[in-house]
Amino acid sequence: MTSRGRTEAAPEKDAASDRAETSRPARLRTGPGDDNATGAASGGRKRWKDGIVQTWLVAGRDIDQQLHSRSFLITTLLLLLATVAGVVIAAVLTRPATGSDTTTVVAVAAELPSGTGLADDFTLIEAASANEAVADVRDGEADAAVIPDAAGGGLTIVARTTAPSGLVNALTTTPTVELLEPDTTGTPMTAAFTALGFGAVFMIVIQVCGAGVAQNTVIEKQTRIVEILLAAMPARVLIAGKILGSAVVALLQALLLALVLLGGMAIAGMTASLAAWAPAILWFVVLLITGFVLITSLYAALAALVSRVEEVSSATTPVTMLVMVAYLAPYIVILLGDEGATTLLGYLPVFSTIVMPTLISSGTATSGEAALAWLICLVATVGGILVAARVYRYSLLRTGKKVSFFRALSGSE
Amino acid sequence: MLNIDHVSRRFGAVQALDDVTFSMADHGMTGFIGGNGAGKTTTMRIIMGIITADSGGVRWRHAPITPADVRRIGYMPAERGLYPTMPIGKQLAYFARIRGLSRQDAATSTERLLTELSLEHRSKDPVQNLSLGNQQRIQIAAALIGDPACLILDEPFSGLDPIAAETVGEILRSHSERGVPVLFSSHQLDLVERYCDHLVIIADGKIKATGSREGLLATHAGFSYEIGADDLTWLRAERGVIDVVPHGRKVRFTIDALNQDTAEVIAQEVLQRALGHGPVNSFQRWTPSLAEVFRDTIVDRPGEPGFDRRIRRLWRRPGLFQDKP
Ligand SMILES: Nc1ncnc2c1ncn2[C@@H]1O[C@H](COP(=O)(O)OP(=O)(O)O)[C@@H](O)[C@H]1O
Ligand SMILES: [Mg+2]
Repeated sequence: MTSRGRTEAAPEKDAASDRAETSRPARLRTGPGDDNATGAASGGRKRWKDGIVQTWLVAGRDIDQQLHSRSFLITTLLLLLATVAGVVIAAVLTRPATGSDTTTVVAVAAELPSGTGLADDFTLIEAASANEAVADVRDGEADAAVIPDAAGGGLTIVARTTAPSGLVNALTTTPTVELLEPDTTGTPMTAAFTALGFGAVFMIVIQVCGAGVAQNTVIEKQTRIVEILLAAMPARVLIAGKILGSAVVALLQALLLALVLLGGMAIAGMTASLAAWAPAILWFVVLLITGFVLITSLYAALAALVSRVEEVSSATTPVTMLVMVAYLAPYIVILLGDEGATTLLGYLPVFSTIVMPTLISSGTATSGEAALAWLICLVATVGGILVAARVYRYSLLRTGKKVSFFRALSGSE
Repeated sequence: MLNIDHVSRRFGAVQALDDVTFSMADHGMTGFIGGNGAGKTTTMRIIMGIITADSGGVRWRHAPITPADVRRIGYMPAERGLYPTMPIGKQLAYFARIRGLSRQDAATSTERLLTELSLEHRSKDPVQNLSLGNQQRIQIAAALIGDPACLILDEPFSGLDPIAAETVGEILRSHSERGVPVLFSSHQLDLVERYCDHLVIIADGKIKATGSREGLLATHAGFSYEIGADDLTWLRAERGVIDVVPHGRKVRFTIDALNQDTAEVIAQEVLQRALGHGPVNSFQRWTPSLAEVFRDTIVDRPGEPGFDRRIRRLWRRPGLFQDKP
């Protein structure tokens, strides 16, 4: 114990490395009689704890600023209004199908749960067995078959290409839908517009939250607040806090939109759409946040290269271009029906944020594929953060002329 | 309490700091003076751990400085600015918190500081809504928040009009009188002269002189006198008189003597001679301004304009200057 105390109190050769590794109060307490067996470990733990506290402080300040910013509040409000409008329009467009007499339904009446009341709203054909009912659908005798599940009280709707939405809405329990000839290529317009919708949210969230990080980075550099910050914390804590802060705001915004969208669908009674859209929208939120962090890191790194607010937009042009391309490319590729390109974009980080949820919504991709796309995006994001942190740290104190990105990356003087 | 030991730092081809060694006085205000690019900012950034030294180190109370120590130092970077749209109360509390204060302590400290600066009613205003003088106060407040043990300010007076400079100077002085030592850099020598008790002079990344202001000025005064009279043409030929330089309507001259007493005797002889030539308007021992000391100090190579052999002689005196060959 005593010898340890002596070793720790010995003068360090290199002041710079000492200052990074130890904190003096811990060393002062170190001495004979003190319980210092865990001194070094607790110093390390304390440094981690400090780092986490400071990351949250930085994030908290940025969140606070964003939530008080008028432009943020206005764009969020507009986005919400657009979403509500979208839901209302969709509900109105799908409404006429409900209760339509022209839909012919085939079922084994005896097996249906009592009180289903299909005969009131639809032309109901009686079938002898479940197999016969499906055959009727295949032959075009009926639009859909309603078959009770073997176990439990659930229902399955069997249809040719699309489930009649009126039927789905009329049932009290949400049915499983089985399509005999699922139509994957037949509706590129729907998919393309889905991509455009996801893309619009993606772009607005990134423009509002991500570009805010770029702006703030340069303000801190221009005003030299960054020196006050760097005197109190390492650069990696600073950039981590900024990314965390903007990601929290983006997540709030995205969740709010998803909630309004899904809630709106539920209220409008679009149960079928809700069931089809929920996984797509949830994957979109997950991919959006991951892709967002990647884009935001790049924004912060590129913005750190310049010294004046007026230079931000030109410095961050490459990322802005990337965002634009990621917004439009899925729309075009899906519209052209290029399956190979669509699949590729489905796994390409940032692009996957828009493409994968679109594929999920059209039933072309599974959750497993979405998870893979997310993992790929996650790896790219971690790489992006490391690159950005390096460039950021190197550039923050270099004012005046624009710093070269690759020079900052290589870290040479 | 703050020692800078043999710190060197190079940026590419530029040797920004070359074996910089000095200690900051434990009391009062220390002026850190040097021209543009002399290395003041680099030194301060190394003290604050914002950049690292290539070699050498910084000690705080005799031990290598740690991040925890640095958080006890109030720092104001050059070319100041604050978050333009953030309310000043929130802003100060934020700076307190990143330096390790609890939420409660940060709030208390902010309130106290704002009251002290008579800005308590502006706590919710963003910086951009304040007058220039108040912006300056808040700027300093960002360094003063959380009761720092020491203050380091990079060019606190640059770009200020005389009234704002006065405001800043008085705030700093009041803190130094309360026992918080202050190190501030400047190239505005008149302000340094007014506010500093100690001086550190740097040029080309090398420390040229350190010491108390009085000591430095007195030493540089040497054996020089200033005389005002109608006819002084004879002065150059006078025995023991060197470096006769016209200075406005007066003439400054130096006496070649080994000590002050001899110099005083010769000076009195010169005065008698002058009275013999006609009326003398003024005669006094010359004390240089800080600007003159600075100019003399940073030029240490013979043959350059401003070189003064007086300075070379003084540098050989041990203890007064650190002679950097
Ligand atoms: N980040 C940097 N990169 C390259 N050179 C630098 C950097 N910081 C300072 N220098 C150079 O180091 C020298 C000292 O600069 P500085 O410490 O800012 O001087 P001062 O504050 O006294 O004006 C100057 O020549 C300057 O150009
Ligand atoms: Mg400077």
